[in-house]
Amino acid sequence: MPHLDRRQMLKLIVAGAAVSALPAGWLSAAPEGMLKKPIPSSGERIPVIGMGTWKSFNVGNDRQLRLARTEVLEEFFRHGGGMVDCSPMYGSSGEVLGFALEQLGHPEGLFAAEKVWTEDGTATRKVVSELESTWGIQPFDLMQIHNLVAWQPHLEMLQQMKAEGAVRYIGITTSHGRRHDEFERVMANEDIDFVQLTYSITSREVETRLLPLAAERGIAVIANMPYDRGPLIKGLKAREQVPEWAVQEFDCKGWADFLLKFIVSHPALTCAIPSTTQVEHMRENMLAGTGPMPDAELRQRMIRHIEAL
Amino acid sequence: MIDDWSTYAVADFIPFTAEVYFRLIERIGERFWPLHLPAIALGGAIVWLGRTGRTGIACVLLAMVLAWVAVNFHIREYAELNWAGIWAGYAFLATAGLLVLFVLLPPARQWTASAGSIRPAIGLLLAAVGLFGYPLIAPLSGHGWMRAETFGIHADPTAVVALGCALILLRGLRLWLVAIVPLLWCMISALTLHTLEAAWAWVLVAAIALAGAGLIIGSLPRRHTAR
Repeated sequence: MPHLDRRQMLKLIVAGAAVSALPAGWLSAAPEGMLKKPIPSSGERIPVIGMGTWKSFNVGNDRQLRLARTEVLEEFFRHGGGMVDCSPMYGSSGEVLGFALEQLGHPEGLFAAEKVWTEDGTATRKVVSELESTWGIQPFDLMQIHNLVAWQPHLEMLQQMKAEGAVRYIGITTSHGRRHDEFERVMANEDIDFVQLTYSITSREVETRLLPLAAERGIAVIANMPYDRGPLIKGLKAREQVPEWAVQEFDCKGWADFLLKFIVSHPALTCAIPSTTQVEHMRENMLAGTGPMPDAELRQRMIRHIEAL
Repeated sequence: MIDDWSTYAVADFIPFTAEVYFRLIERIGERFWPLHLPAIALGGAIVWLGRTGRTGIACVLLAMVLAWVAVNFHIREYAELNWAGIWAGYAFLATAGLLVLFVLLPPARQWTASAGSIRPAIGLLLAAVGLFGYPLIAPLSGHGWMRAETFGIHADPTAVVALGCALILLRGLRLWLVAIVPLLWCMISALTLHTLEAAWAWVLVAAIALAGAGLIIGSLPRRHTAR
């Protein structure tokens, strides 16, 4: 048994007490070690690390790159990944996902998340049907309205489709702090299961209103752009080592671990969706969903550390 | 679909990585090899025809090249990566259509450029850069020849040569109408290359500056000589 000093023992007791105070099932480890959190509207638990596809999976009909992305997706599922998020705005990403999923034999555990992105409010069913063909799956687990584009007619139709079982969950998305006032109104007044928004250690605007509202309304939250379009982690990796206290406090394995654990340890957050083109980076991302998570006090220390750099 | 422009960065409009874009350039190069060499020769012929007063046939040949690039680069390939690529393809097709229209409608001497001015000289320089300079960028940057971008095969050198040819062949409003799409493409591509951290984005910026100068010079009123 490893030796624990008094400080570590105290922390263990406090952490144990904190976890026991959480609602049942709020945070639990999958058999593979990946932590899962529940979708409030159903209680279904999904892995806290998902996968985004913006830029990373848009490789067109280049077979060599399609096979390379298939390896990235394979690594994702090998580590217990669940949510894969895409949008018609992402060029060929949906087709590439369809190709990769077919190559991998449609792995179990996939939580397929897509978006409706059209000003034509009457095209919801048509878009969903086309996306199902592109991915080679039916039905989607989650269908979101991309950036609130024509959200009223799309939401009405998606609610109807959910009732029919044509989609399992529905939601809305935004990114980079756009249209938060309207986003908040939809969250407050409409019946949705998920919201997707930008949240990272350097983009925390949503902490003040949207995350508390999500918790209050029982809406699952997906964090996009966890690395602020990429430069955040690239810059950190190039210049700095993770602080020693992070290694000691929550077994931090690197900057991906640091940045993603900060996000998914927020009580209102359900899942973060980093995207990557590299198998090695996927492995780093997925490891962030395992092991101890920082508590509220440590999260503040993490913010101070990044702000001081 | 776009609101609150201040929250957007150029990178938000480029939905692919540098690896993917340059693989696309390479794959298109491989697919059409060895068409590159006759394409460059055709570009040289268009410039020569324009400089020797055979404007109509030069315009038709340039229109054919623009239409070819619109279909085979923008619509068939680039649009796979960027949904806006199809609109760029349509814009190139529209420019090709305009060139043909200008040949079909009024007598050539009313709208073609006069010889001996600065504007055709700038046009010649741009055409030379697009035809002979642009294909050297990839090998000089340490990449293989199949990465080389060529007039008639890839969009960037085609746009640069089209600007050069427009300055040689046309004047007035017709020059602006034909130049606007290649000029816009050069701007978009310069921003794309800059975002993808390609060092040669400045070549397109220089081409835009040169073409802009040519367009402004081409719009200045002619000096009247005393009798």
